[in-house]
Amino acid sequence: MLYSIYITSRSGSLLYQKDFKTVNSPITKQRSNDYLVIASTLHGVHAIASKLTPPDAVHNYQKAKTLANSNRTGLREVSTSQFKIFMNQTVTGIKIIVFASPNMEETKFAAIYDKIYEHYCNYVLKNPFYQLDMPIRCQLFDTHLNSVVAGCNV
Amino acid sequence: MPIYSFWIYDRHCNCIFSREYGTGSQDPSGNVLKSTPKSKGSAQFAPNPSYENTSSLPTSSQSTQNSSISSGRGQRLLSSASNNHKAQELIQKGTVNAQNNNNTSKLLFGTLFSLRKIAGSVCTPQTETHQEEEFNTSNLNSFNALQSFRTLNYKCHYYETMNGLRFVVVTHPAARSLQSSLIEIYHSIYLPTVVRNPLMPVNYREDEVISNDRFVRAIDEYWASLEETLT
Repeated sequence: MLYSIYITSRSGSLLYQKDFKTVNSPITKQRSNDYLVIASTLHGVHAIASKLTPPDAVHNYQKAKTLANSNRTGLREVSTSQFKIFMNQTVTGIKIIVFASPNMEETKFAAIYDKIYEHYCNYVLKNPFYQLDMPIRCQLFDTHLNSVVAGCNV
Repeated sequence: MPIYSFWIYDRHCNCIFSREYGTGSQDPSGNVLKSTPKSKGSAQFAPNPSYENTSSLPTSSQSTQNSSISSGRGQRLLSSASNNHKAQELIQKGTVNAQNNNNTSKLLFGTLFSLRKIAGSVCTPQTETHQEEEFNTSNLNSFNALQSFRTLNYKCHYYETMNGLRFVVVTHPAARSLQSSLIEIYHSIYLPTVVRNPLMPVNYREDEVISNDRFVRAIDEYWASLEETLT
């Protein structure tokens, strides 16, 4: 189950945020300012988490089964009792953050991330009216994202 | 799956206990190891010749000096010869309370603090009154609790008691959820050796730490007894 999706820019500002209406979603509605705070906090924590790597653990990512993408040392997954947060970073530094149910797994998220990124490339970056680092307001992206989410929330 | 470090923070956000474990694997790039922030004069686990003398001291001392801690290992080595050799080696290489006030400790706390805040705030309903807001930000509600966070290099498990005491352990990313272990440490080690110990303070002053031999030894034994440490 996917609960919500955040997309942040390279500098940590919120480009896109959407809460999905799913059954038993623990996510409550926040003030629009809070969404900005959450996104930029996660952006900062992502960087700090890589600083915190224990000196003995710096090479662990080489043995990881999941594809490192460009998020090799940063924060990837936060689990709480109600939901999990997955983060992944594109090569250009854009972060796609997904709030999902606790039973979501890394491999499943990787597939979802690929789809979201594909739609981001196709319907946001290729949109002639979209300016980089500006909030995403593209209808096609919305509809395709909804279909991805509907596909895994069944 | 090695365990890298173990931390306890009190409710005033001070780090009151930190324990690093060395890992068995030799790091090919030695420069990384050199960059570890280690405070000078820390309680390194070197064999302590004065162990016989210090063993007569009361097992719990609330002094901020770390010197008596290193004697705890000697006891451990003698008492648990049956334990796995590898686990002992890891314990030997570690440090106790050497990093309580350095950047790593503070960054770790900051990370956990902000993640905990996000976890809580995303799940709490909007508030109208001041009392509601106070309740929503306190530890007493059970809307949501942070359990762990993970990067490809390490995984950090978190447990917070109701009175704001925070237990943190940093392990290999493939480790299972160790929150139950942290709860067990609180119940079966922290409560008997620290809370029920009349010589330990209730409120820790700044840079006052748990330098209680029995506690340190019990923690070491507990982590060494887990399957994760040995594999």
